[in-house]
Amino acid sequence: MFRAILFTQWKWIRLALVPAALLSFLLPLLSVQDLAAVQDGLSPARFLEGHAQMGMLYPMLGAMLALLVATGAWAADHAGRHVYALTLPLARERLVLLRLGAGLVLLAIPLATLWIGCLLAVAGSPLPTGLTAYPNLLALRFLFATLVAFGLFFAVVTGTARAAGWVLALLVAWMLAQVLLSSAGSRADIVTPVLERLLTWPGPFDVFTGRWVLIDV
Amino acid sequence: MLLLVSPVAGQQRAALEARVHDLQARVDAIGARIRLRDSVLDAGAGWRRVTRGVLRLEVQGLRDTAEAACDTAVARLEATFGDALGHTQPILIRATPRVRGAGQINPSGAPLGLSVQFTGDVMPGQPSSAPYVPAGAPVGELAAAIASAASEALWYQVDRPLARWHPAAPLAVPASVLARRTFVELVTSDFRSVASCLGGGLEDCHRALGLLADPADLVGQYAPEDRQAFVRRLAQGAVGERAGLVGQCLQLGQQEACDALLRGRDWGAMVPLGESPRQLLLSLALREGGPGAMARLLAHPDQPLPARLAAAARLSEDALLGRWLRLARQSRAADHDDTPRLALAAFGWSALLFGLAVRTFRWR
Repeated sequence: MFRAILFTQWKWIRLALVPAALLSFLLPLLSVQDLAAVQDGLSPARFLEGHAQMGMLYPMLGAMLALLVATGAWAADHAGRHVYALTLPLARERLVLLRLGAGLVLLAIPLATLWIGCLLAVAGSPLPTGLTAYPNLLALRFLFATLVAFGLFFAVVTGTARAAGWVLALLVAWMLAQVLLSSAGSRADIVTPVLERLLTWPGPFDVFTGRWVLIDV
Repeated sequence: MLLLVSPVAGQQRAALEARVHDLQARVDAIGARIRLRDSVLDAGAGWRRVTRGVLRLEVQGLRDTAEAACDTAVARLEATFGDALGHTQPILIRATPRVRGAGQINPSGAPLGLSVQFTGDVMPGQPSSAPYVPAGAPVGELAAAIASAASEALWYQVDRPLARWHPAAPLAVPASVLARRTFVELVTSDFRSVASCLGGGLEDCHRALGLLADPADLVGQYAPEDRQAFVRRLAQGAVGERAGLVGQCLQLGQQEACDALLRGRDWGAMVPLGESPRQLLLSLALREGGPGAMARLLAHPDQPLPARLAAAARLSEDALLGRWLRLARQSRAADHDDTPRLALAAFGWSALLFGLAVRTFRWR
C-alpha cells in the first residue's frame, strides 16, 4: 500500500519536484562562485558577507519544498472530495501516516541533491587560509528547517478547510490589530514579542535564523 | 639696474595690495549678504535655535519637543564624556524637514530628518551617521539621534589620539556582532602579527590592533611580512612611481621597495585589524570598567593608548587583551555548536505537528 501511495504522490508532484531538486543541487554551487575572487584579492571577510547573504535562499528553498510536498500529498484528495481515499481499506490515521511517510521520502530527494551539491561545491577548489567548509552541517540544517516547515504545512493542509480558515483569520486579525494600534498612535507592539518567541530557541522557527553558510571561519 | 627696478616693483606691489584689499572687501560684502539672505530665509521658514551646553539645535517649530530632546541629549553626552565636554567647541545640529520632491516641505512642519552640520574647525568632513527621526517621534528618539550625531564630532574633539585610532565614539553595536566580525578578521587576515595574536601572542595583538608607541612608524614596528601586507592594501589604484614600487615589493619581493612606499608619506591610521576589533576592545574596556570608565579613558590623553584602555577597564593591559581575544574566539563556538539544539527543536516540533495532523484529520 505504501508503494502505491508513494507512486501516486510522486506522479502528482514530479513536474515541480524535479526542478526543485535541481535547484537544491545548484544553489551550493552558485553560492561559492565568488570564491575564485578571494584568490584574486577579494577580502575573505567580504566574501563571507556575500556568501551569508546568499545563504538566506536556503531556508526559503526549504520552506518552498515543504509547501510543495505537503500540498501535493493532499491536493488530489481535496479536489476529489476524498472519494478515492474512502474506497481504500484503511483507517484515516493510517492513511495520514502513509501520506506523511510518502511525503518524507519524496522530500529526501531534494535534500540529497542539496547535500551532494554542497560536497561538490567545496571539493572543487582549495579554500583560502582561515576558511572552512561545512557541507554536512549545512545539509543537516537544511534537513531540520525543511522538516519543521513540512510539519507545519502538512498539519495545516491535513486539517479541515474551516480549521485552515481559522488559522488564517487569526493571523490577519493579529496583523490588523497591530496596524490599528500603530495608527491610533499607540507604541504597543503585539507582533515583535510573538515573533521573537517563534524565531528563537525553543521556538519552532529557530532553525530558520542564524547563519546559513557553506563556507565560514 | 636694481635702483631702476625697485620703484617699479614697489608700485606694482602697492597696486596689487590695493587690488587684494578691494577683492577681500567684496568677498566680505558677498559673505555678509549671503548670511543676511540665510537668516531672512531661516526666519521666514520658522527656524528656531535651542542652545544647551555644547549643543546648538536648529529646528522648525516643535520648540518644546526640541528643548526637551536637547536636555536629554546633553545629559547623555555628559554621562558619556564627563568633564571633557568643557573643552569642546559648540556643535550645530539642524533638524531639517524632509523634502518630498521639487522643494516641497512637509506641511506639518515637524522635524522629520536630521541633517548635521558642524561649525568651524570641529572636525574634518561631516559625520558618517545621518540619523533619521520619523514624524511624531517621541522626545527620546529625537534625543538619541541628536546625541548620536553630536558624539561623533565630540569624540574627535575631546581626544584626537583616540579618534585617530578609532574614528567614531563607541556605538551600541552588540558585543556578539563585534566579536564575530573580530574573529573573521583574526582568522582571515594575511598579517603575520594577526595570526600570532590569534595564537595567543599578546605582544602581537598590540601590533594587530595598532596599539603602538608610534603607529605611523610602520617600518620600525612591523615585521617584513606585515609590511608587505600593508603594501598589498596600498596596491589598488597605485600609479606611476608608486605602481613601480608596488611591483618591486610584491612581485620581486624587494623589501627596500616595500619600506620606501611605507616611508614615503603619512598613511594615517594603518592598522592590520579593522574597526570592529578596535571597537570591541574599546567597548569591552568601558564595560569592564563600569561607572567612570569613560572619564578614566579620557583623563590622560598624553599617555599611551594601551595604558589608557587598561585604566578604563581597571585591568592590566594583558588581561584586557586576553579577554578581548577570548570573546572573539568564543563567537566561533557560538556559531557552530548549535546543531544538537537545532536537531532537538526540529524533531520535537515536527513530531508535534505530525501528531496534530494525524489526530485532526477528517474526511471532507
